[in-house]
Amino acid sequence: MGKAIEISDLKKSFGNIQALRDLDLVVEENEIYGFLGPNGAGKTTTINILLDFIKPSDGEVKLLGHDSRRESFEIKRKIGFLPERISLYDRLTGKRQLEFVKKTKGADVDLDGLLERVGLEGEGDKKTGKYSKGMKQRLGLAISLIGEPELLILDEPTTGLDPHGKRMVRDIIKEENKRGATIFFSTHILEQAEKISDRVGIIRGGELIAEGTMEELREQVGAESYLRIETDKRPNIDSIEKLEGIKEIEVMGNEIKVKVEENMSFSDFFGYLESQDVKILGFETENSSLEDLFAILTRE
Amino acid sequence: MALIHIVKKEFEDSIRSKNLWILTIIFVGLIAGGSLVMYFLPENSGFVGENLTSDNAIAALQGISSILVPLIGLMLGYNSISGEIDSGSYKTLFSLPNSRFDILFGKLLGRSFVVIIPILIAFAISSVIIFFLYDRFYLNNYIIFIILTILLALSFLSISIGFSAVVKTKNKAIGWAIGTYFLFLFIWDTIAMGVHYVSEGSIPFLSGNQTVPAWFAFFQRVTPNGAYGALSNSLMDLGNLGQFVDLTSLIAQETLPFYLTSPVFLALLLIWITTPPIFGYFFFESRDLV
Repeated sequence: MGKAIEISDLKKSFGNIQALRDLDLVVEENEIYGFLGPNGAGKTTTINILLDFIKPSDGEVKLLGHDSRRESFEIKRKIGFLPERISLYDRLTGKRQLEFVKKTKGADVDLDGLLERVGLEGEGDKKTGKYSKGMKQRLGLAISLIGEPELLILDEPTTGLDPHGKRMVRDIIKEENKRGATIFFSTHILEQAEKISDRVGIIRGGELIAEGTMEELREQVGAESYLRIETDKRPNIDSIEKLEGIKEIEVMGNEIKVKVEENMSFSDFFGYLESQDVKILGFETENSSLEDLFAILTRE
Repeated sequence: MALIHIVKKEFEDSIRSKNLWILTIIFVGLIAGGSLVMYFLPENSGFVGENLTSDNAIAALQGISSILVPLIGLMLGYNSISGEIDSGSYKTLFSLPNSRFDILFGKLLGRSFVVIIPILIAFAISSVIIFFLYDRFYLNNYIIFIILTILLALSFLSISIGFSAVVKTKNKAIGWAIGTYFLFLFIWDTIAMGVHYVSEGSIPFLSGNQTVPAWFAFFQRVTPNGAYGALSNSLMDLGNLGQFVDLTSLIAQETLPFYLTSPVFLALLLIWITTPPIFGYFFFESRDLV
């Protein structure tokens, strides 16, 4: 499998400010890659370089095997792009702007069908100056889909959308991925990245600080599962900590909170409690929250 | 050919500009109104001879055109690229398979068609008035006048698109447009006077001497509007009607040096139309957009 995006040793400074320092990132073909980071981490700078809006200070960037600077024209024929907070030509209708993109890309697409797909049926003949933020975002998504791009670059694609719109974006991303497209999208909301990404890369301060599937990321930061058990009496916990897979234990009255390695079997632990003649009244497991995880990863 | 789609889009977009239509209405009103007023002026009043001809109209409209047409050109161009960057709409435009060459020259061409429209409307209405009310219609002069006026508009459009490719914000673009307008229309003469003072030790016209050195006459007319005035004078024979000074009497020479002849001024106007976008392009091509 080829690589959709290959970024190596990418640096970008604006004056004295280093926006990107040694960014390395690879997106495989046909994967959904969530590019996650707090605001100001360098996400949009990276995307601006991918699209040759700005020049890298140093480093190399390849999209679909083409050099981002020398072959940007070739790249732009094969990609679709949705910018953050899209700005349109307010004096032209939505459909006219889709038509412009269609002609520029030499694409064959049914524009009415496309408008319907992004939830803008019947709105194509209005000037986009009269569109709401959400409608503009939907039109921007439609623009990015024209020409069945091999690679979709979406900068904060759910910005300004209501929950229905957000789900639509996720559905379209999945559909496009099924068609064979690679999706690279940025977000500052972990939940968005988690819902659809095959892999997530976390950027902070212009560097990639973690990358992988969500499970891998949890492991990387040592995020664990908790087991919360309600018992009929206070157990003797002196020897519990020797059991394998248990990292921490806390007893509050009849409640035990145990921190365990992810995906470990709890049966040993239950067996131990039974040997103590402690009855289990109820239990639940919980992952350390994703927000916690993100906060840990992007902590200053 | 991505350029042609940009030309069309630019045409459709900028022709819907409210400012353009406000300026167009003012311009059409002044040109058509001016032609009409000439008809009501009494014969031999100093403006009009025994016969009222289209040349009288041209003479009256030269001044209005040389002040308003540069404004229309600048208005259409000044924010053409910087506006995309300021608003963020460039992100879609530049993510498509368009080169920066396509974008800059597509905008220039698309807006060139737009800038011609107010001129054609104004002179079409004016020509109807002249045809029905005036004694004579000298079509040759009238067509030359329209073509020169279009060239004047294009030169200011080109200049403004040129610097629009360099600046990044709308405010800077406005500053450049206003600066260009005042420099070429009002300040240039003063600069020319200053240069004359430095090199000749006197200020022209003030000492009672109504003639100037040939180089000074050229320097004054090196601007697009200066070249337009010179060409208006030399290409159309308006007799003593014309608003622009006759060069032979100005420099008090029987024959003009070559650099004060029509081909040179025409070339100058064409240089003003072609070079600013080329310079703009070289800067634009290698710059960061954000």
